[in-house]
Amino acid sequence: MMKKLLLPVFLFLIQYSFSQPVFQLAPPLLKYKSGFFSGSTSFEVIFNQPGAEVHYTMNGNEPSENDPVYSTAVTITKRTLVKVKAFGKDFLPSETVSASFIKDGKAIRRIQYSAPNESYAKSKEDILNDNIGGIVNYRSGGWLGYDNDTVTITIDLVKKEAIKNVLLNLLRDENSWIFLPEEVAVYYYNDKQKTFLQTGKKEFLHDAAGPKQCYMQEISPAQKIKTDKLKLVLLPLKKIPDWHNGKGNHGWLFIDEIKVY
Amino acid sequence: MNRKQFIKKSSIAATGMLYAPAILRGLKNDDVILGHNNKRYRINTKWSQLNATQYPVKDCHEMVQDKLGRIILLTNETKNNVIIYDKSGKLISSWGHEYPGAHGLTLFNENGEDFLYICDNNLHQVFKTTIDGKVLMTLNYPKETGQYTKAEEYVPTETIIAPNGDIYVADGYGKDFVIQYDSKGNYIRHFAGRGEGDKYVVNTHGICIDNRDKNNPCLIVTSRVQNAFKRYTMEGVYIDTIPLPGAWVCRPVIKGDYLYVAVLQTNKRLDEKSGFVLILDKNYKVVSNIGGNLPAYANQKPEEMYQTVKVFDYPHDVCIDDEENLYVAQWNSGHVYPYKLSPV
Repeated sequence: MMKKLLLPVFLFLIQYSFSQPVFQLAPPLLKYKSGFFSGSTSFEVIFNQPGAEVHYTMNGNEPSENDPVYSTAVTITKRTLVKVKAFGKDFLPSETVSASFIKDGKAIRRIQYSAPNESYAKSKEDILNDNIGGIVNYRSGGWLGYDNDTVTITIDLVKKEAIKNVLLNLLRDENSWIFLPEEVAVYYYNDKQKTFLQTGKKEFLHDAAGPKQCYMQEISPAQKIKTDKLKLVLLPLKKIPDWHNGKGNHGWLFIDEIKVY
Repeated sequence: MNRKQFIKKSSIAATGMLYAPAILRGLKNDDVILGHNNKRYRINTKWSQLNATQYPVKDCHEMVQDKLGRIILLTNETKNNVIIYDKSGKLISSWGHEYPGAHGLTLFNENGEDFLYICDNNLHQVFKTTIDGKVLMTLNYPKETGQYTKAEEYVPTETIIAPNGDIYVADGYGKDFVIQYDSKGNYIRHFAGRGEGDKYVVNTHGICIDNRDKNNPCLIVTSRVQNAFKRYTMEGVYIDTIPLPGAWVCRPVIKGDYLYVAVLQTNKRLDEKSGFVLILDKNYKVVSNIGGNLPAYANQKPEEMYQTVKVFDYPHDVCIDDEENLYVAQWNSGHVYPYKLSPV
């Protein structure tokens, strides 16, 4: 019985997958000032296609037609992963578009960083803690770009704090030769030894292409630490892998914001 | 059917059901109505009836219709640079092996006879040919302007021919000048080009003559990276700018009261196959976006435009036939043949 019922459905699906496919809706445009905020922020969705609606979630789940329909700007007050997706009766649903909204962490006095490539340097001193960032466009103005071997960043907190987590926002845009780094190491300043000691590390693989995205990487210290001084050492990709058309060249590293929790 | 088979089949069916709403109602693309207002169309993505191994295409750059009603496609595939179809998509003939950078295709009816003008990006030349491909004139890089020292600096993308026979060439991938010649190919002047100010352009990818106001014909020149058209007099004096925010407009094409243009992609989603086709009325107001957002205006200016339906990848030109059907040629879109859209 089941078999009889399913067969026409399969034939139907097969027929349509080999004839003109039904068109898919384009991804809706998520509009926001920054992915980083203190207090509150909001996002808008731009998508004016008669007969289509954009549904969204704020809990990380894939949006379905049972989720709220977007109509007007949505306010965000805490760390949130927003996902939006367009549905319409004449079309296949769009891809899902997502954005993370990250709230301020511990008070930062200043962040110093090694000199970026001058094409992607900024005169703004607090560029890495100005709550401006999280836009997937390396020309958006918020990013620092590096094409050297080692990037060192030191973070001075306002006061000594127990550190749970360091978050950095990196750009992944391989079409533009912007890759995640080979590794990121986190150091804290040890008063007794009067030196920086490594307390966390994250290595990245580059064996396959990935989506263009803001890549928010969190790294937790290996032990309980209390400090007012942290250091990050990032190693940009020295050699673009063979699967990429820029193979053998030096990759770019783009970073736009750092938070400490 | 045992339990294992049942589970397997059910889960496949469930995957299928994700796509069910549109498909299971028996909806096909040619049932979908695209575009807005009085410019709405049904699409046929299988219009071309060619076999890709016999008549391959690379980028389908531009299309025109000749006086016999035939649809002529220009591609940078040197197995057949020019493919001539009837309106139903059947092959009539093909020719051309010598245009590796074939890009611009313009038809001009001179005293009752059709001629083609081909811009070649790689050869840095413009050719006037008969309808079956015999070269009658070649325009080399315009030394006379004093702006060029070698052919490589000149990468012509488009031509338009005035009723008096003057030839205007847009150097869209070179120095962005428009170079005006007489019908014999003698240099008259050049204008546009890059610079600070409204009269300059960036990526002058296309050009056409707007003669909808018979007493005041003007040139419409593409400034693609600026997402705009710029209007000039027939003598190259700047008139004004028609902003089209977000839209990488290719060549303007005028048919009847309307201006049609393929939008290669949009600023919101660069390099992501975000193109569509837009249509402007006589007052340069956006009335329809085929595959794009419902046109909206704020302070007399269109709001930033974007793709809403993935009908096209990178549309590069639109041709309107004598029955108001559209043919859309695409660049870098998996070697697809043109699509045909019919008005509803």
